[in-house]
Amino acid sequence: MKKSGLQKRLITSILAVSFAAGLIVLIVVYVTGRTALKTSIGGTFRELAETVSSTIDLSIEHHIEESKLLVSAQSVLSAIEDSNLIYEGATNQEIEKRIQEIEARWTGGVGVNAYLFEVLNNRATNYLKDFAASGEKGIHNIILITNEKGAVVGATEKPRHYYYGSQKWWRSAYNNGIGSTYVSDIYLNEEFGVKTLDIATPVMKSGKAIGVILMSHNVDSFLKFVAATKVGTTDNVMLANSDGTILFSPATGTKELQLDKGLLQEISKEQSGWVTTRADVTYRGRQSIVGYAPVKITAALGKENIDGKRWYVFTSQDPGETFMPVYSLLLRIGIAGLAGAGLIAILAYLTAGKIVRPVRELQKGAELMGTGDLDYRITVTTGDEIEDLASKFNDMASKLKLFYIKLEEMVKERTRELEQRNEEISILYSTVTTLNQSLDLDMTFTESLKTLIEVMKAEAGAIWMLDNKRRRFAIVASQGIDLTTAREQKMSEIFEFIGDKIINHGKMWASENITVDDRLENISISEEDFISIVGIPLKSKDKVPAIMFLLYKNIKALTSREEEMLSSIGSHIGIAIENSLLFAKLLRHDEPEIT
Amino acid sequence: MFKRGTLFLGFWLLVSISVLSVTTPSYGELTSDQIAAKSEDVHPGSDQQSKLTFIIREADGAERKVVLRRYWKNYPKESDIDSKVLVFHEYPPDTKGTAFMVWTYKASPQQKPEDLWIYLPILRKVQKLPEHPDEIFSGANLKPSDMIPRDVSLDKHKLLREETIENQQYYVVESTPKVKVPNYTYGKVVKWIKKNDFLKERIDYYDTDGALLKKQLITWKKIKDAYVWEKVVLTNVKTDVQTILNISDVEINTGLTDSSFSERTMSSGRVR
Repeated sequence: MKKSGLQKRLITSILAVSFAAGLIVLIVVYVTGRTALKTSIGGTFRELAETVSSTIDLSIEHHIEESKLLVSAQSVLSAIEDSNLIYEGATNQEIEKRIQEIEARWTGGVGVNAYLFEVLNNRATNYLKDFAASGEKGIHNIILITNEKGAVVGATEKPRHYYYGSQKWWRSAYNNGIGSTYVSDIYLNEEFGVKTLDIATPVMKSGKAIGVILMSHNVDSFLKFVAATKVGTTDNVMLANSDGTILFSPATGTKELQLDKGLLQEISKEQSGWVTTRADVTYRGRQSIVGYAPVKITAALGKENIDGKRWYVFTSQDPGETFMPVYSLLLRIGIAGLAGAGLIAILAYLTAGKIVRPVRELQKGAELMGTGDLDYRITVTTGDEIEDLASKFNDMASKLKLFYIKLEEMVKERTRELEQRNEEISILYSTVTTLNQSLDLDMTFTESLKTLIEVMKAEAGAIWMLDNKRRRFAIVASQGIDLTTAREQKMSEIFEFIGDKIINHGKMWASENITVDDRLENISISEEDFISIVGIPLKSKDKVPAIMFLLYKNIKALTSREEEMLSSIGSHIGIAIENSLLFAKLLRHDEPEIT
Repeated sequence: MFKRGTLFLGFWLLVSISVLSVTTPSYGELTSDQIAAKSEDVHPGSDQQSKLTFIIREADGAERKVVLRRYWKNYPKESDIDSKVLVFHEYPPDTKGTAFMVWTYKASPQQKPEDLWIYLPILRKVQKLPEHPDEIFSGANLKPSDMIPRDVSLDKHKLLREETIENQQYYVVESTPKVKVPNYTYGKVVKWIKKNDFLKERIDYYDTDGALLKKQLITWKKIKDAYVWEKVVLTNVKTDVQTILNISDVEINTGLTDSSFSERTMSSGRVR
């Protein structure tokens, strides 16, 4: 559980940081993207509105020019002039009366009507028909020309009326004979059942208006380009007048709509721009971006036109489409984020593993070292602090091992010393015990010699002692030596030489290898003799009454502690010998004197 | 020049029909003869002055215009003379001052043909014309026989049907000559006569083979107690030539005298 904790925490931390970063990125992208998009889309919508507005300006100007061109046609002029001739010699009342009579018949019982026939078949009418046929199909509800009294002279189709002199477009265009171009507001034309824009132009001759031409446009065709002007799929570029009446809306058709007053106030400006609103005509209640632009020609034409109103182009688009790039971007970022999170999780897993693996190696090494495996070495090659730490662990293990080796050696040494001391104590105990068990001198010699040979692991031993009777030193006890006479003589020679040294100096004498010992160069030593020899003075009251020799067939080097022990034992034995001698003297009063 | 003059005469003859007036309509069951008679029973008044504007539109669309000043006097009480007409050209400029005068005579077994005079300013002379042949009037779309009021007794009349056109009810009457005469070349004439006032508003002319030759549309105008033509559109269906006549500046019973219809008036250009 603990072993995987670090990796889990690392992965969790990395993922948490990644998710937090991703979330921040999403928020930043959304906020900045939405803001940037609003600015960008708003600008685009403003340009769209400007473009449509300019196109409407151009279109109206074009149609005004077109109507001026039409009225300059000779056939039109002639037809109007001929028509006006009819009124010669008649009073205004007579003319008006006659026109009303014709109008009454025109709108009532038409019957066989030479006027209608002529209107529909004269050269001006043919010219108008040719003109209408050559232009965009369906754009004109009707094109008609009137004479100076407002009576129809020619028309592309039968007009509903013969007399138009009382209508606003006619009065504005005729303008009491002065002549003035007239553009109507967009209105629902009951005659044709469509939204209509009228352009009426005076027919001038010699500076005087002699008639008027009316070009009645089907707004759906006239403003067809508006519907076609799009930057997206749900765009709806609309036209409203300064009353807030929506004049043209491709998405809603002829349905009467009214612009929100607040929005109207925002868009009815002299300059183009864009606003955000929740009062969009099509997407009310949702935050939308609306671009707007004034139709400048509506101001330039003067108050007599457009019913004294102004037009404003404004745009509308489904906010879902408007902000789709942001949502799409967010979605993509989200998907990328999820993919990134997955990748990060994998990388985090790998990275955490990479980080944890040396830590685990450290952990494993530490555990092994803790259990005493100080030969184990942690292998980490990360080149960083962990590798450094592993190196320190390894150093520590090396040093610990060295320490343990020294400690073991110390323990061994101490143990050995202890054993030696125990051995010494044992020897001393055995010797003392042996010496205490008997006051018999021979037994003392024999037992002590036997004990020392055993504890000192010698092959043989002998005690060299002054024989008061023979008044010379001789072997009084031996172990492990086949003492033939010759051999005794030979051994006595060595013992004597060494004994002199010991007696003279009162100290132990030993030779590790008597065959090469320069001190014994005058002594012949046979090959069967022992290699090492130790002479231990058996001292009593600073006298050396006897000497114990331990013989080794192999080289024997005494330690200082052995020498001390043997010296001590020698003193005990010397005291025991003296005690034995004293005891014997007490018993026999003839004990030998020690000199 | 002569042909042009006869052409202008044709314009005048066409207009001369417009002096017809109608009587009060009858609402009983009428025979075709009665309907025909009522459609021709016009009271033109004692005299008329008017301005006539002819527009002749050729099949190719080319137009030309002729403007005339017309003076007319009726002689209902005379046994011989029926009417006198004096026409002055005002347009085109090159014909300005040209004048025609026609005297027509009442129908009788010894029918007297009309008398025609012409004054050409360039000649400074009034000339009496012979009896006009039809062929010289081809440019005006109408033959002299079209322009001279025809006595209803010369034709057989047949009520073909009653027809409603654009909310107006019409008697459609077919008139066929009882006797073939050289001056009248139509096989038949079909007239659309308004039921309420017996004004002829459409006349179709057919040849002797029954093929349609011309269509004439008439819009009437009531001045005082009389109806006069205001606009006439005549279409030759074979040539597609169209003649439009606008009659304006009409005055009725202005007191024209016999002296107004003289060669002197023609040459002076002033009507008293």
